[in-house]
Amino acid sequence: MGYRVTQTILNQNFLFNLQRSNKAMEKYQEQASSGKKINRPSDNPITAVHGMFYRSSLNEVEQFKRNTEDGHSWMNTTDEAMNEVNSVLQRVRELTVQGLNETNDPSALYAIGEEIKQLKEHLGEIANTQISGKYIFAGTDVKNPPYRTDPAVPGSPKEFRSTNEELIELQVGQTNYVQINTKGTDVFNNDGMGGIFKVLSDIESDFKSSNKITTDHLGKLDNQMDNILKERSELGARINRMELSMSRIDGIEISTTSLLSKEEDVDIAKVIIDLKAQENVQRAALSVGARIIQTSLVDFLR
Amino acid sequence: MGMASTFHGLELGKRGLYAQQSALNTTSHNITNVNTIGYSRQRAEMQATNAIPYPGMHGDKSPAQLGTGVEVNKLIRLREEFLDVQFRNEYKNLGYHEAKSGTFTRIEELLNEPSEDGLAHTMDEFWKGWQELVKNPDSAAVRSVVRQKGVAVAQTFNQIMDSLDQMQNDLQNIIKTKTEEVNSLASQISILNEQISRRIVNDYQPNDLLDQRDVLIDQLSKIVDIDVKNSSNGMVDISVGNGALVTGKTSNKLTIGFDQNSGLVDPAEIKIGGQTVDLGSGELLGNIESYGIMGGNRNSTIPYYKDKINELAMTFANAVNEVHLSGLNLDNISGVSNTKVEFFTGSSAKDLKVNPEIMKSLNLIAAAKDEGGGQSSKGNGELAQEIANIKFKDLNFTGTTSTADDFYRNIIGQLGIDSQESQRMQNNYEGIIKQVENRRQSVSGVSLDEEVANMIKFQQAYNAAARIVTSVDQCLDKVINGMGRVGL
Repeated sequence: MGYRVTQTILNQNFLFNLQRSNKAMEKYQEQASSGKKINRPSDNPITAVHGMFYRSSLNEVEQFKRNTEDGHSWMNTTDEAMNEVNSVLQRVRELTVQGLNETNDPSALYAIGEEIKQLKEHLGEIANTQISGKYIFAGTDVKNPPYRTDPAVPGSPKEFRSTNEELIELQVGQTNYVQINTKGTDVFNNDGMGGIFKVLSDIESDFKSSNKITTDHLGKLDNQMDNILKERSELGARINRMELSMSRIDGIEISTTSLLSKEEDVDIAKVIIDLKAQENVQRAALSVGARIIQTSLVDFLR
Repeated sequence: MGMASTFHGLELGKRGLYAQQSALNTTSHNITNVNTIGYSRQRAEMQATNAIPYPGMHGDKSPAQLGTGVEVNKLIRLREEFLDVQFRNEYKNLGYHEAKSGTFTRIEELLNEPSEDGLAHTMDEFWKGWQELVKNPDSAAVRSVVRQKGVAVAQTFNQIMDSLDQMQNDLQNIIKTKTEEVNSLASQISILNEQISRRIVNDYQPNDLLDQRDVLIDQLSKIVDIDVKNSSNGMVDISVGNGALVTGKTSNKLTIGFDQNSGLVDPAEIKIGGQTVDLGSGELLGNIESYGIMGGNRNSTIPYYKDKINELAMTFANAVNEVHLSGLNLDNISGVSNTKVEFFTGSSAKDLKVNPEIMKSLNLIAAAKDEGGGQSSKGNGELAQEIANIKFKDLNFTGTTSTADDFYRNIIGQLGIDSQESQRMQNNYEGIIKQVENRRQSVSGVSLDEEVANMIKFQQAYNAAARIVTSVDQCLDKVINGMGRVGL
């Protein structure tokens, strides 16, 4: 005897196929509603692992981006401060040239000396520039003003007393670091003997005392101005590097996002079409099912 | 001159009525059992009854045999034994892979990758916390963020381990329940064996008892790998591995023993009637492997993944601690104390936590490196950078060197592949089982169309047999009441 087909076989096959069809519907619906091709690793282990990798990369990139932004603002603040230092020194140079002109009487020289003193205090304020509560010219000793009185000697004059030469570096790539601080000692105490402040206070005291001036103040001032220029150009180079990193990171972010999307995101048009096609299969299966389940010979016997 | 008995025709008609009635009854038995699980359709086998000699007119030689009608000599059960064997061979595999894929799916749900809330993301956030600390080493707010991210990582590890423990507890209950089920089925089968043998001895064909027993054997074949052998008087013997589960009218108990130290199932303690057996396949073995079996390695599913997660947690925590201890915290820098503490404490993923000392004081988080002479500054974030860089550092795992991220991704990849494979196997066996079941239905299943057609066939035959009785009755009436009354 050949293969007998009974109502039970028809019913069971119908239920089995309907079940598979339901599973397929569920898969497409999950994809459509979550927007993701995979919702658990077994959906596609390779995609899952790639997806995890790109996600993690995006997290890194996000952090590097924040680092570049923070570093950039730190360096810009430093650059502005040094620009101001330069302006102050220009003004001091003008005053010094004026003071060295032999036509000045002692009171006029004294007045020039006083102005230079004020400018020196202003320079001190610049040396104590802060960014979000941190002194930018103090190395890693960010909580203490680098231009300060000596706490051990009461009443001592304010000097650039920070000796901290630590670098502050921010990570802008897995193996890429950029130094964001400029050493305060290099800017304000480049000779280790009092630097700019010493030059200014020497000029001040010479002018105020009306002694015959033997020191080459202009030469020393010019040296300091050269030094500032040198530090600024170094800083400028690092700012450039940081900006390059920023644009590189933006590029990586875009490409990683698109890789992640390619791995994980569904093609919505495709899913909707698949879902519709599956719906048709489902409807056909149900209507066939309705017929085979109802009918038997009994229906036709009267 | 010999002749058939006067009432021969009546007897013949009666036999016809009886036989067709039996066939009708069998048909209705089939129809009413159309939806009974495991029911095999039955058929009334009809046979012509023994003929009698029908002597001729010219001698007592018998030139012919006179038919005497019909009888139902057997009610046969339509079933193919080899399809049962085939079904049971596949059913155990379906049971095994169902149990395994169920476990893999649950672990996948538990680890919840890839997503924005899984362990991978929590660890990324942790490294980002340290990166922020590089820029703000003295900020209490950023320190508190680092601490919270550390707590989140530790809790994620704890929660994964707790959930895996919970899964094991559930599976242990399932293993016990399934073992009881095996024993209960074995005992029911032995009872049916006894009932069947009593009927067979008396030459009865206990069709419905055989069906009931086959249903039980089917159920048993999903849980364990069984070998079914026909024995005397219609009884069957069932063995698992080399252990005799059912022998005729008696059954032995299956017991599962757990190792005292590891808590895992001890394969030497899987016994039937005291004899160690190999379960082969089936739902029970699938659950035992999911739960954990001694010497099972990769097949010991939950312990395998627990070990991996544990290794990840401890290698990660030790790497962080090692760097953390080499740095200076705020208390060291300000000279309050020389004490350095570990960032994480705990001996496994289950009890990993951020050091309670750090929970008390944010100052104990080390962000700075020595700037010389054991001194440093509050603005030094070099150590924080070194900790953040552990993300990219190759760490030593058993048998491999990789970053913690890579190690975890491998776990997930492995899980995905294992789970995909077991789902595929489950699907395959569902299909195979479907095929075999269809073939079995094709032989044994009741077809209503067929039964209704038969019903009409038997009904008509019954009616015709009744007509025969009527017709013989009329003949007899003629003989008895009509003969010798000519002219009356």
